[in-house]
Amino acid sequence: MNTLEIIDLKVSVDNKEIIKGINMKIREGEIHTVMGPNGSGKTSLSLAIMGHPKYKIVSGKIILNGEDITNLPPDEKAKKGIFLAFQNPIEISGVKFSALLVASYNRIVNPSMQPSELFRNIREVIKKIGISESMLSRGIHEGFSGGEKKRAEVMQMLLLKPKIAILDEPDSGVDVDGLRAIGDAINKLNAENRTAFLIITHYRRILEYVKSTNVHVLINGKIAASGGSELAKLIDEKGYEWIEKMYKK
Amino acid sequence: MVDEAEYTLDIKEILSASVESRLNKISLEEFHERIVRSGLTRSLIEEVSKIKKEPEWMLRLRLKALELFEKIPTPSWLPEMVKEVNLGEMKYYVKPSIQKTSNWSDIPPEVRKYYDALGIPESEKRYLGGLVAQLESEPIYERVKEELKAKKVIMTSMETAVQKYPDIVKEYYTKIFPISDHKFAALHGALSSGGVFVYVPKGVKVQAPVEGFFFIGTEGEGQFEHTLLIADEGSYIHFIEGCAAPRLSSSSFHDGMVELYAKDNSYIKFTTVQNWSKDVINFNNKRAWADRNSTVEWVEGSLGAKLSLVYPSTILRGENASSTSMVVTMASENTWKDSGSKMIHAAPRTRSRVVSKNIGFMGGVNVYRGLIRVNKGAYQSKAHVQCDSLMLDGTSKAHTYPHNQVFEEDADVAHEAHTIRMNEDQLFYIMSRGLSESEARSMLVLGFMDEIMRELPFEYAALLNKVVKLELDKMGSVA
Amino acid sequence: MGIISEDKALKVISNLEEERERQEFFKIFQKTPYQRINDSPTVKHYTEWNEYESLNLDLDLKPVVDVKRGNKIEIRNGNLIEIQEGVKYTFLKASEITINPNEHKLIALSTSLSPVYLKLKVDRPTELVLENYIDRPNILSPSYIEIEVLEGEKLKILINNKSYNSSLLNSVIRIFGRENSSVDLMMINDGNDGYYYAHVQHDYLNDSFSSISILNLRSRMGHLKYNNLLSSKRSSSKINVRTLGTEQYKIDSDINVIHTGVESSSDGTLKAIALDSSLTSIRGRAAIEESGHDSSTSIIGKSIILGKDAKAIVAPMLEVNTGIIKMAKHSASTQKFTDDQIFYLMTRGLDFREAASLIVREFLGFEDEEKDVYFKKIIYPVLSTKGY
Repeated sequence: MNTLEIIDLKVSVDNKEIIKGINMKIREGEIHTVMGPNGSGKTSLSLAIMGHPKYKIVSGKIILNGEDITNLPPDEKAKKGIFLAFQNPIEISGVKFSALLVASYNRIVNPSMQPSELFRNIREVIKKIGISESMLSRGIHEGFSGGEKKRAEVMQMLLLKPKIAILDEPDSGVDVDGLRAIGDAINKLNAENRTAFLIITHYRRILEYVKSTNVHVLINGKIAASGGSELAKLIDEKGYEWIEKMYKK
Repeated sequence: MVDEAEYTLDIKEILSASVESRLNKISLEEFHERIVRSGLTRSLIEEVSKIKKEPEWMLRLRLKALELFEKIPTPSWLPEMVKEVNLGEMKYYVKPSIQKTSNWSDIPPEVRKYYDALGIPESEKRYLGGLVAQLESEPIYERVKEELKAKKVIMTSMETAVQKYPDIVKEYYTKIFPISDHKFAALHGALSSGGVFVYVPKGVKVQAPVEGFFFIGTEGEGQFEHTLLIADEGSYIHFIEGCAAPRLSSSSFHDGMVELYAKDNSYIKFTTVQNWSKDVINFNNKRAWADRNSTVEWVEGSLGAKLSLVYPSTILRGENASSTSMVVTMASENTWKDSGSKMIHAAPRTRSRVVSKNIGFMGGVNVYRGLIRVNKGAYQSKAHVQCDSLMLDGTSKAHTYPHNQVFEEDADVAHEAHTIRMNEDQLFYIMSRGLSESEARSMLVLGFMDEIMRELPFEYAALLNKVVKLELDKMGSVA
Repeated sequence: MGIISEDKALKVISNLEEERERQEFFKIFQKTPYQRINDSPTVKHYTEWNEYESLNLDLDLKPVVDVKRGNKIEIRNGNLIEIQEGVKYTFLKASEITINPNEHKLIALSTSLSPVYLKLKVDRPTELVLENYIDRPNILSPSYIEIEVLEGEKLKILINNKSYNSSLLNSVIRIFGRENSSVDLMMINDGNDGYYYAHVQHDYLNDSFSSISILNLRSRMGHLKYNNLLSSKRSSSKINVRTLGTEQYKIDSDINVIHTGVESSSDGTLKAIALDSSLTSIRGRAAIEESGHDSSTSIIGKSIILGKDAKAIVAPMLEVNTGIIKMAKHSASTQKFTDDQIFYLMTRGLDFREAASLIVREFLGFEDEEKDVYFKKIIYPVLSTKGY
């Protein structure tokens, strides 16, 4: 059973502490949602877990299936089955998207798959997520609209079938069709592959399509409240400030 | 003892000869003869220097400059049209307190109407119209003068500075912008007269923008003005020269120079707004040194003159220095605006940013010539150039000549240029909201220039807005 | 000195046809300077002409006898050996050549010494391969070729210019496409540790199109001048030039696109990688003249520097001489890949080295699959030896 444990994690950026002690246990098949006001540290958490050099892990641990992966470089984390769909993926205009997909698949899933079969897989996946084949020959995220970027990130997730998928705001900037496609992708991977999810969402639109088993509210770098999907409803009704007040008590 | 003197130079001949020598049509000897015939001689320089009571080193510099002017080949970028400007004779003044016109009615009626439309104060009108050589200061400027005095900021005419502060002047004068740099820098070196010297002491921050225009009352009407501004460590100053309102000049050729030195941790912002009348050739040589952690910001608005060549440049000599250059030019009928910036990154972690906005209509020509050079060792430097040309009608022309020379691996240099036609859809949209065509056009043009307008103090921006609108009205309807 | 001595040149000319005309061309070569106008601030010239000037080369030229027919066009050391089956060709007279020797010193050199002025006529869809190579050190290999593509016809041509250690390949080519024609040009200028000077002029008639893909590498001093003259209505071109600078090689590409035809369009990407202590230079002039109204041009220049002593120049000029245009833009940048880009690729399983390699290897790629594969076969081995 795949498990990702985050133990007492403290992260600082530019000498400023952003994550002030977070504990989380994400088990196979679970769908965790992290919500919180802007600036609470949601994206920082995702980048720190993935190993971004600017986000210094000051103390605490990240354990995957009993193994301490806290300080591993990002590519090794990826190879061990962790996937991050970025909120604002960077453009790499010189490199064709197809080139990245092939290189990535070879390292994470299957180094010896025939190119023709791999491309068949890729075509299936892009059809499912609803982006055109022409995007494959463009530069990575080059000239993509906000919605296209989100779909392109989720498409990679479908291809790489990770154990743990962290999605940073997969629902912002996406239209109804895109949202449905992304929701379907999450549910499919969750059901077929038992992928565990950590979904960061601000507007909670994704929760219309995906049932979250665990909901966390991040306020000021700490988890202020955890619960089931009723917690999400409560936030809808009462807002973050109410949670903050409750938490302070 | 002659206190004031007036000489005549045949500037048309000087420029014609310069253009022709470029095409190798005339020999060095012939060039020299023509220069002598135009009135530009060693004895002229010597006489002028004596009248100004200049020290020996200044005279030597002038004579050396004259030599260089004759030797250095004419730059290839000097446009042919230089020969076509109606230049006539140029009166080269040593100490002009002479009033050029004494009658308000001598000022052309269109110009008078222009001033009225702009709503500028009477005293300014008189100055701009050439009625008085020096602006009678108003109380508001007196206050700024007081601040400068209290903070021990030195601000005098260049001539006084040469006498009173020879050591500091000698150390930097034509060192930041060497007279050997090009032919017309040399010409400036030979004939420089008038201009401002400013020294801001260590740690002194001058809060209000200092407007040189109103203070010194430029002698020689900007012909060969030389401005030298030194900001000592940790100081801060914003200096503004020029005026957006059209300014008459009886001198049709200007070859000025501005040298800035921002020492460690200091900040200099140098703003020039120029709207010389239509028969003027305006050459301005501008360069700055930026030492460690310092910032130099150039802001340039070039509205007038028939031919204008201005390239504010900065040498980023100290680690972490930064410089920006914002230039907006407008070229209308029979006008050629040549501008650009040179940013030389000679130290690590230096940053530069150039924004050039050019507007052309009725056949005007805008040319951008820029250089970004990152020397080896200037690691982690960043440079960005944005060059946009807006063409309001079918006849304008825009040329962009950027040179990016990167000799350092760890550097980030980017340049973008867009030449665009006035967007008819946008024009239509604004007109559908009730504005006339010319009002809509003004709105779009001002929007185009907005990034640079924001750098100007409010009154300047407001006046500039009005001037731009009046200029655009000349366009009439776009069929 | 001076590339080739007068004695050697005149001796060879005396054995070729039209001796008098060639002597005139050689005189033009001698009296013309390499570059008249210094238009680059601080750096004297973007091509170091002294590198050519310091050469003292021999010639290995023979008068043309019987040219055999085969599956390609082959020029060895300046001598025309083979012409592709099925292609119509003639040899022009000196008075018939259409590129003016006065245009550049090295064009005059080529026209004076090229044993033949080859003219090819494409009157049906044709695929051509031109192998223009040198296999000896220290010689000058001049060649002059004109290709005319008739109305409505298609030409696909691969030109392999390959020099040799210390030799100079001097190639002058003109391609002229008539109405509704299309040209797909692939060109490799491989200095092969030698020198090359390549001049290509490309002009068009109405509604014709061209796609140009060029790779430049390995030259002690390599100069490519490509003039794309969009002189007629609705003519258009797609231009892709890639330069791989290694060792102490210096490679200059001067790409000019001149719109004098109404509704013409150009779209180009010029890229260079400078490794070791090489110097790469990407420049040129995109111009929309008054007669070329309603045209559009977009040229992008990009370079990556990966070497403590490597240098890159990017200087694209844009001249717009009419306000009636569809679009005119250009951009130039020199950037190393960013930390964020490396991080992104690492989150997709590549380690640092692999991520950097991917970016570098893909940087010089082509959008078109066929060209991408073809050029990468040449680029990848060179990059591998450099650790990418």
